[in-house]
Amino acid sequence: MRWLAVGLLCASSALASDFSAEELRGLTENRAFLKGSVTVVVFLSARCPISNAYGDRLQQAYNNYRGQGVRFLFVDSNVNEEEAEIRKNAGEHGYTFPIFRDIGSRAADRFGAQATPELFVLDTNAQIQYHGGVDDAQNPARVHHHSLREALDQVLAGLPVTVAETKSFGCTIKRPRR
Amino acid sequence: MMALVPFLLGLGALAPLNSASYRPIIDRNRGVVLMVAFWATWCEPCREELPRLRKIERESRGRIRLITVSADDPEQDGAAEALLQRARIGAGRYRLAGTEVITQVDPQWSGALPAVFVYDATGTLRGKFLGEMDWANFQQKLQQLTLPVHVDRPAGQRR
Repeated sequence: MRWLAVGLLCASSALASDFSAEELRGLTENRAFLKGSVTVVVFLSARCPISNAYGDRLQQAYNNYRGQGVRFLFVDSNVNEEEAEIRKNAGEHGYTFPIFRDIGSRAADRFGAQATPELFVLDTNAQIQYHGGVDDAQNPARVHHHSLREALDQVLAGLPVTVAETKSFGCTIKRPRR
Repeated sequence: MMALVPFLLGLGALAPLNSASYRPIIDRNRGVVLMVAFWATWCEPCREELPRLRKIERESRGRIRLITVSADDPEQDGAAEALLQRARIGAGRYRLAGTEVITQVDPQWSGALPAVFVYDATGTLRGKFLGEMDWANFQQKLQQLTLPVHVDRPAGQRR
């Protein structure tokens, strides 16, 4: 489970990226690349209403933590979502983060991701320290536990993550038929 | 006035379901094959499944029962009830109160919807169907579970 990040996006193409070509190559070929900084891998969807409902919160996390050296990898692993649709949806929701299309759903397979939104927080050694949802309620007014924020704060502080796994409802990732 | 419609049709509000009440609900339905469908108003494939699951229940002549569990926020109860009503589902209607049930039902399940869990007549989990439904496999599982139980008798014993 701990090595799953290796090779992430090896079958993916960047739709929009703030990674340089060299960094992208490093991401796919050099496992050391993922070890340098805390990384959040977010599986999301352009069609899933609950994924889109969390768009603002994901954008906010990106805005808040990117400046602290956290790397975000937003991944769309749904076989039925084409590049144009993902781009259009990202534009409509005002996402400023890059989204990677995971062709063949290989990244989802390697992480064992089942739903959108579903995310993983990796420490600087590429070890998964948190797996689950953004928070504990779809309605922002009903949120009691900001699971992602709490996990990220603890990982950045070098502390063990108090709640390392949460469950949340989301849309099943549509994988290619095999 | 619209709020009275479910009442007039004899349909109650969605009952809250949490980790303390889940198992007792399964146990109360022992004696029949139970389909527990987790769904949400925002989940299109879930909405498409509901009428078909209800049809399976209706055509089973009491051998198969359907329970629906909405994963929506309470604010969506009205919309959820309307969708259930459209699918002619009048009983066994619940709304989740807490995500602990996800682990309780199946530790491997992340909460991806749609999700239908099938329990046999003893209340034992016998099948899970996650994502877009494979109806052929699903029907096959239900058929297996609803077959009459044959008890082998010692040779020579009269029936």
